[in-house]
Amino acid sequence: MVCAVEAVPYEKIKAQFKKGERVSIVTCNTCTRSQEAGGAKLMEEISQKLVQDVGIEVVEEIVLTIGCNFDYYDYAKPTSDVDKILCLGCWAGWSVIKRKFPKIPVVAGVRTLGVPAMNEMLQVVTPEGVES
Amino acid sequence: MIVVLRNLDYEQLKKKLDPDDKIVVWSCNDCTKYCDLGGRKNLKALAEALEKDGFDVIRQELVGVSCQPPLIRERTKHKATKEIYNNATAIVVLACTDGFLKVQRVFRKKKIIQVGASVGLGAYSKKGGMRLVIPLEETGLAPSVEGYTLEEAARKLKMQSGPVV
Repeated sequence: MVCAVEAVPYEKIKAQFKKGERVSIVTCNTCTRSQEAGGAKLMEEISQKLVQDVGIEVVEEIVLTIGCNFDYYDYAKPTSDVDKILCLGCWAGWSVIKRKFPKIPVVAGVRTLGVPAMNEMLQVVTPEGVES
Repeated sequence: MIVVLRNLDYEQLKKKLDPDDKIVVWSCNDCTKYCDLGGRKNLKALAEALEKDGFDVIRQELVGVSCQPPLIRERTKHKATKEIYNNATAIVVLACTDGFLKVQRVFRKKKIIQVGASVGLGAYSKKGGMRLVIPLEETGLAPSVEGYTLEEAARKLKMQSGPVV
């Protein structure tokens, strides 16, 4: 289950938002939480900071058991009435959101480092539009 | 989730086994299940096919996740399984590359047969199944929000997808 991830530095996330933007935040509660790059607690912290520092409006916060499962995301009934979505999931989770809302910019708040294979890290290809 | 494809078909797998092997068929019940290679149903089907072909399958082992060494080591210590693993000579592993390597590390003296290999990260839905969206660099495939079906990915990578039997 576990892909290797790390959090994108907050300053880099912050730079991608503007005052007054309506934002949905989505986090995965598996791989990214276990590696302290996502999860409910971190999502709340980042959400509060973005509200204070940038002045975004957080429309909804969604915690998914696993972010790379379309069914969980659909079940959460995410709104499309936002300017941007912040994804605190791996790039597979980011792909799920991009596919569901192709016209809404999806900011990747997590960097995917690869797929572990014992002591090796198998590198993955970086999709266009994420912080590499 | 990790996308797992197959390196072996059933005939190739049988060639790696000896007639006198005492076999454990081992499956991860997470990513590999979502890739329809492992999980309870496929584990049972493979074990039964091997038995039907005259092989001595001494255990079917379904593990929550095969990439966690403590869960693997537990099988070597638990009173219900210790003896079985002492007697086993071969373990057929339905798991990702990481899951296979970790089984191999725990059971150093046994023949460990790799069936699946990691090829990247996927997104799953009940309706569409697993799709490869973030491939490994070594595959030469481009990332795709739409994703590659496992059949399509396997064809491009000259591998196989789905259950062994």
